[in-house]
Amino acid sequence: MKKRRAAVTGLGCICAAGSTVEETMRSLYAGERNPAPPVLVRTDIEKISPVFEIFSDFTGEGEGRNATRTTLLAIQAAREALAQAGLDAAALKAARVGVIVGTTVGCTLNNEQFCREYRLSQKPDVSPVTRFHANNPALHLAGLFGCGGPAMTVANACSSGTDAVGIAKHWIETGLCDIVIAGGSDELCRTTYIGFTCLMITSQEPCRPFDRNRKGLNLGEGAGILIIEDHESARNRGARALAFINGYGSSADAYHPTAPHPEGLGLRRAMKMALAEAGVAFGEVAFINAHGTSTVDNDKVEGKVIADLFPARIPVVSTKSYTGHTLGAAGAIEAVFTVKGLMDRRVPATLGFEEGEGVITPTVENTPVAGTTAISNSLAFGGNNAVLVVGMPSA
Amino acid sequence: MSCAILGIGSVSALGCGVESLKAGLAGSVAPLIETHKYDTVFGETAVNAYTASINGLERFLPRNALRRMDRLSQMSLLASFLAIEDGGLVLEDRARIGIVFGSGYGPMQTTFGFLDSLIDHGDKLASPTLFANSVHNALAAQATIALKINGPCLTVTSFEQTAHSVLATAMGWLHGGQVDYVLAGMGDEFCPLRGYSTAALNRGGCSGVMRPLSLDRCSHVPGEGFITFLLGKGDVDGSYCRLTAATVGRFDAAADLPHEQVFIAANGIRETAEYYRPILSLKKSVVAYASLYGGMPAGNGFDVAFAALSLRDGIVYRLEDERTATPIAADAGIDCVGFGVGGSCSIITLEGRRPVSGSKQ
Repeated sequence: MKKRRAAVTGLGCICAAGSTVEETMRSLYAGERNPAPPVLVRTDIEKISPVFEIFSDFTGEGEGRNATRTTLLAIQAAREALAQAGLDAAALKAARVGVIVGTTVGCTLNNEQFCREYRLSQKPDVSPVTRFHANNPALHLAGLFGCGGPAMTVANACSSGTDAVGIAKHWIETGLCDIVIAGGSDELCRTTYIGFTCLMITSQEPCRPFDRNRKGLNLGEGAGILIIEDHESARNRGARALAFINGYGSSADAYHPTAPHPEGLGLRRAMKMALAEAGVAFGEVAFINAHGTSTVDNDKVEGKVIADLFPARIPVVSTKSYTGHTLGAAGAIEAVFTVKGLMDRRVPATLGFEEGEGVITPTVENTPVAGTTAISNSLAFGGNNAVLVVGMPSA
Repeated sequence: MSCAILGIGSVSALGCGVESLKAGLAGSVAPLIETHKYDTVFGETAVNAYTASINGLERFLPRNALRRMDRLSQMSLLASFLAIEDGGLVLEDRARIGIVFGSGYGPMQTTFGFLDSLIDHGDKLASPTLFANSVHNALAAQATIALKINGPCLTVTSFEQTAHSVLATAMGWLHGGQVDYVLAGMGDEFCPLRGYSTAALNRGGCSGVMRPLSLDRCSHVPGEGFITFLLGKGDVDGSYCRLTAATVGRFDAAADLPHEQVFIAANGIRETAEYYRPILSLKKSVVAYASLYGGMPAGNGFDVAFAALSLRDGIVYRLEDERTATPIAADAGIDCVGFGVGGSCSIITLEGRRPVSGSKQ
């Protein structure tokens, strides 16, 4: 029996760099970014870390009053991706369609007002609870688009989006689905902002991935969605494969709840696993979209692993310098960028980088890439590591 | 694509360990149910809730390692240690073991604990430890560290589809060859805010005694617990049974159940009750066990454990009215059916082991 391949037929993205894939890529190649003090988040913390917030007039209008911002972002990215894939409601109803979405904020009942009123015995209204139930991202999208297959929300912290795309690949290959709406979505949230600030891993300056003077990450928000299809079925309906998800690796550090393993053992395993699954040699990789959060620990470990595994220098980019760290959405947004980088045959500069630590040097300008395979890395709280290998269709 | 259930670890209101589930089925142990009172706009409302017993984690980990670990993490970790112990295997290559956990709500107590810390002490002094442990995948992370497991690690949350998501992912990993074994666990915890929400949402209209097969009335009683399965490839000598399929979708479940024995995850919630009614009208043997573990999104994982025990021991218990025990063939199958609020259905199918010698008794 012919092996089923996971083709990418549609891309959707909304983040601080743009409200569509094309708009976002234009910002990236123009080297534009706009980190700023948060508008959505109010706090009495004095040392404010800038965030990458989506334009403040985003409302997701027409999608229902009860939808959360995380859900609305996912819907917008999904609509863009479905349109590119040429899939309408009738097509989705006729096929075996699964939905898998990574998130962190979207699966947490962290309504501060509800909690505060309960503590003050003010008998709070339970609408935040019913709203929470109605906004599990994958279940919500599955209901909205009438998808009859599996619907799964991945809650793997910052690797959630990458894991979602990787699992979608397996759903296609094993025949569980013909089409998967896969990605990640997360809104900027006060609880998360305070949490990351308390952990002392946010920077009061715009982030500087892999720079020796980096001070930490900036939070962001957004959604990235990929339409992943069985290549044969996609071809039969006349859809074009933009790329393929050829490999997925996942591995646990088993080391520390919040810090990566100092030697990056889990990341090494995940990268090797993903490349082995793709049947690709290290030397065939055209570029790496790094996790590159700009935290001291992450960039040190990730840089070391990349330098060890890829002694022949290849372009490494951290697109978080344009989007901020969008948590559960990050891996999916970066998978979109990885596909686009291969299609456009170039990757953008890593903004904020000036001086390295002698381990790796990320891109400092728009950089041409040669080759048909690229990697996207994600590392997460809990020691999760997830890696995608993306390939272009043969000419 | 079947896999073997090699071990089961359970932490629930019935106690700890797989034998506590067996005792619950046989009626020799009753679940621990506590009553909590909440002041809602409908007046003071009593809410019964199943309370899990977490005993014995010190047997596997030093007490100081447990100091900062929240309740849901402790439940999941104990269930996982017990599953490995029950499987009786020496797990050597830990990079070839995966962990996939699921929960409807995640570590709620810790999430609210973090909010408490910022309400009490202000934004600047909120607790970083509570924040780090409030993420859904904190349980799986604790398990990888405590059990030194380096394989793939995933956490999912899909409300009533959670158990299906966990088991389908585990089966996919085993089938795809990424791992040799998987710890597949699921569960939820009770906390005061969940109790308050139950009281307010039920508007005092719930009986407070779980009667899952009485579909005409609300009898939802929130529960807590964690169930972990140690899964391996194929049909393994000494295993409980085979996990043969995990399907999900919007279909007519009553027309799609291949086996005579059906376990339904009805748990007293009126919004899903109607979906189960067509199954009860089938000429099949239908049982429900939520009265043993309580209502929680990932609760049908416990049904899978009860099905595995039934196939191992050759007995199916009926709990409604008078408790009865009916024999079931060693090579029979059981379909575990669960519905979500939107009507999506999951069917997890278990089949008895093919006749081999030395079955686990």
